[in-house]
Amino acid sequence: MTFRECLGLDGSDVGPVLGKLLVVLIACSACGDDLPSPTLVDDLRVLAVKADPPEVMVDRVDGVATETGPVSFQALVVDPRGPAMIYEWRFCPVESNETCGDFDQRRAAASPEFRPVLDTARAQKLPGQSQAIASRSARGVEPFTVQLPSSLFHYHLVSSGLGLGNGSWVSAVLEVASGSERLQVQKRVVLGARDLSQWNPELQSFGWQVCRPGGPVAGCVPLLPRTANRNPVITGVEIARSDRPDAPFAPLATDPQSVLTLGPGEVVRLRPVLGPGAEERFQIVESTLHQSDLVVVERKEEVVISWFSTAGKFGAPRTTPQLTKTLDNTFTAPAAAPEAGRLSVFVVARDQRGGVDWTTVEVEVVRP
Amino acid sequence: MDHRRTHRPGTPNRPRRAGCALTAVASLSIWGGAPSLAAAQSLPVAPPAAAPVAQADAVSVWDANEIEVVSVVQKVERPRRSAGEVSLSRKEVSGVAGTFGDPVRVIENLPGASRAPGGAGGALIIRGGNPADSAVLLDGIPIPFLYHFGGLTSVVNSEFLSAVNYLPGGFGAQYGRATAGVAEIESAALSCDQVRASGSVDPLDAEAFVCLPVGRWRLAAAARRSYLDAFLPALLRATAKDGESPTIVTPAYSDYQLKAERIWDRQRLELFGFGVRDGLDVSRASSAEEADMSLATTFAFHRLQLRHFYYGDRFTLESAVVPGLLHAITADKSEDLSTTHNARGDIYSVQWRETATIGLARALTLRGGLDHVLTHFEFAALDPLGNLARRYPTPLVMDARTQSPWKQRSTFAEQAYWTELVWKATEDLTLTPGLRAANLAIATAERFVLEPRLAARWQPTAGTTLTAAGGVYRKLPDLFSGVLLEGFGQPNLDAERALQSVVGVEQRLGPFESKLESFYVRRDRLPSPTDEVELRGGKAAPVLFRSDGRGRSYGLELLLRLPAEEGRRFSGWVAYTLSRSYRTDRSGLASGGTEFMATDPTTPRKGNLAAQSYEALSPYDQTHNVTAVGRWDLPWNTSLGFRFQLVTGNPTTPLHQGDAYYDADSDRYEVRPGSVASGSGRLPTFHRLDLRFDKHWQWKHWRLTAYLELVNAYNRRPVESFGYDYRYRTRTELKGLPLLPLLGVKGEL
Repeated sequence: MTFRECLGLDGSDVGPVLGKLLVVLIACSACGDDLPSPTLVDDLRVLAVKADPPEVMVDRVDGVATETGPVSFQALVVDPRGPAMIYEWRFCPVESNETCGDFDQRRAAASPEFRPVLDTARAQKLPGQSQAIASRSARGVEPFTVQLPSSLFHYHLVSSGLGLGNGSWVSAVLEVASGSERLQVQKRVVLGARDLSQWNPELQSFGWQVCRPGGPVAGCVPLLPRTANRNPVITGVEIARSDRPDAPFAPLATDPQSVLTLGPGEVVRLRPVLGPGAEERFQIVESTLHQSDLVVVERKEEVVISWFSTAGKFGAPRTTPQLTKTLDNTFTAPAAAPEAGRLSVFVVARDQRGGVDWTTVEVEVVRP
Repeated sequence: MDHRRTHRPGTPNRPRRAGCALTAVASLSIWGGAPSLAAAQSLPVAPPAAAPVAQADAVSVWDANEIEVVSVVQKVERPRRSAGEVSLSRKEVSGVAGTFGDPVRVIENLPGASRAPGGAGGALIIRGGNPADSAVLLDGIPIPFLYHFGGLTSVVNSEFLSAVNYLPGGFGAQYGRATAGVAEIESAALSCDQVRASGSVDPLDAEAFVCLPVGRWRLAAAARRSYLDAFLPALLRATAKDGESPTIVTPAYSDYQLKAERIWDRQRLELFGFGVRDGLDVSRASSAEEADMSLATTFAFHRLQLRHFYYGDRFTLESAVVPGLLHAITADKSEDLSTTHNARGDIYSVQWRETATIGLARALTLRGGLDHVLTHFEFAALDPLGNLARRYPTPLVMDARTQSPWKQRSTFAEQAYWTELVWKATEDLTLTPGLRAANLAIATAERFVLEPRLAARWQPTAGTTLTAAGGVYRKLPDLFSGVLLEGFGQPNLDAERALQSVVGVEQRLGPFESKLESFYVRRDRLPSPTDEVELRGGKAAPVLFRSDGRGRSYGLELLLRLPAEEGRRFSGWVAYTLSRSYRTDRSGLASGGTEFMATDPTTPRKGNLAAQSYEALSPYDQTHNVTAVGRWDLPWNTSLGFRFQLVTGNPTTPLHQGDAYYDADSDRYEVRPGSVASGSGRLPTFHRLDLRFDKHWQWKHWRLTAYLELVNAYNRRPVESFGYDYRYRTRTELKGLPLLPLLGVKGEL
């Protein structure tokens, strides 16, 4: 956060700030009206990638990190035009934010003892070709399973102090290509310690310590042992046959054979049903602006729903209580039946810690 | 100054020449030679006899005060303070089209001044510097902002103004804490031997002014209030769809000025209090689909200028003590979401300036002074923005539940001493070496700096003057950038430095006055963002900024001017600037969603900083900037003015040409850093014509002026920015204001 942002300023002078805010408020009411909507899927898209599990926790036994189980990645790839598609999964063992394009740079900065494990982990990949699955619009991409060696944990512990408590991340990078189109996608998985106080000797070099259960060390950070995050689960979708917010919702079948029938231009409200435990409580380590002190903050996940369709229009691209008060969204069916006969609606849930789930609703537009 | 009252019959309104009563004994070009109005009473006082004498043509080119003043006021020459200084009188600038009649806004039509990006205006961008690199002064004292809402109208009633001085670079040691240019507004001596008043009304605001003599004092007061807040909310409600809870925008601004002045013997005492308040409220009621929200933002400042002038034969002294308060607050809340955030800043300051001029000999004048500021600030914030800890990327860019508290208070004093020697080496050559020594301070950061400066002015022939100036200019990073404040920045940063060099020629061409000037500015020790972390006291701490940013600007400026004169029906000028400006820092690579921020290149962009620095065009770079301003005096007390601007579009980063990838955690596409060069594209060329038609009616005791101003007369909406689709494959033009007709009325008693 910058000081200017904190004061609500975005300019170098105080004066222009209000003016710009006013201009933006008045002039931008039509901003972006002529740009494509992110909710409309009309070409090659990757709508979500799920890591299972989304977080990997290690313990310390005899001074070293325990081995973790494999992590599996699944992708929701869509291209309603249906051309052939090839793809390739690759693993990124460094903490990249740009689809591992900076791997060489980060590898060069790593201690030589970690370079072999980085190279081995980076070598994990899976090429393939698409195959049709349940939705006519969704493309089948084989899941990608990777192993996370314990030495990778040590690398992240040494290079970043495990993200100052919130965990480091490694990623899967999926590249899909259809004709001349090419798309790269990155999905992270968190690599953390179940009880970070076990790693205090290593954290010492980063200038902080985690309080031990036996008794706090002066100035230590009271971070409790963590439970790995789990993916949220969408158990169903409900529908209200009206755009009125008070219209009653009814369950909607989401099995592959079920089809929702809507009239041309009909407006309905859709709402995902989340399974128990979709919004988990957790602790994060924050850095204060004063002296960069580390503090522990108690949080609860807030699920964000992303909405996509191959035709029709959503009221909002995302729904979450902070943005839209509720998780439900309006959907307006297209004025005419799509050429493909049916359209697909994709509902993706994200829990703010990398947990993901999705479901699909097939829709038929029929003139009454 | 009012033309009717100040023009002395029989005295042409033209640049003063040697031989006029006052210039015969005074005036000299120090940083260029333009005199300006200081104003005193009808004294038997001559300006310092030893003060250097202006060369007639050299002075006349840029003489600011072609209007003769009433007999009780005397001009006291002050040397030009910049090689390229341009001084404009109120009359000359008050009718310029596109300025809403606001004389201060004329600054943006002068050479070297860039058009502010975004169209909001208000930011003073001179010779490629950032807005914070230039100083905006009222009688030598910095003011936080010059315009309401950043560009609507100036914050001081024009009745209080005598001249606007524009110093784009190479200015003398008198001015500090600026590395680019200076815009200085000079307040006018009150001239009301009897009660006079004026009032004006336009679609945005209404203002009133009154001035009256009370015993030996002259008193004046003015106030202005906008009324956008009276009808805009109703308009927004009326245009909302059924069942929709509209977002209500309520802007309001106001200002006031109170002035008391007394003149006796060789002295003048002035108390000038003024204040400004700009506020913007945005609110939305709770509805079934949307949570309620309210946002309130206020900026206000208040000043009291206590000034005393002494005009001796060989010695003049101007003393000023100026206490002030700047108050800024922004707060938002939502009952539905149970969120509350706010940020507040209060800055109290007292500035003390002494400016003395001593005539040592006929060819030698010593000037000097002190410029001290005592500042106390208190900042506090409770914000939803993520802090420096690592966070998992999510679709929620800003989590409203986050509350990062921060507060800081500090008291610190800055001291500055300056001097300059005006040496008239020969009849034609004047050299002015100067030195400024300052202890710059913000919060815990203190830096001692020395700023040597030198100016030369040579008049080889009548009508031709060559000028040159250079020097060192230092300032601390802007307080509001926060880069020196613990928590947001790095208190160990250096003072920024600019090395300026200016060479120019002034040439009279018949009735025209011309000036051609070249400049080169090298900047270094600029704050450059970094994502490095270092151990301090055994604790990891982000570095945030290092003082290794650099910049350079160079260019050529031309001003061709036909001044307003008695009997001349057309007056105006053409200003052309050809320039290039670069910045070198670690933010030179672009990425999606954080396209480089046009308003502040020093703002860190999270997660996409390069390890090393890159040179990129400054976001304020404008290769060509042409402005033509003119006014015809027509029959029947009417006049027609125009302003035409043609400006190269500011640099922008064509993100749609970059390599975008999908971040499945944040559910956003990002442009890969480095896949498209920062600032490698430009906005379309800006051009606009503004027209203004004035009609005056004169009665025995009062006068009425009506004007119609057509801003953007041929209705070409400028492209101010680009918006990108979610995937950075296509973009759309975000345009500025269309044709805006404004009708205003002003009455003067």
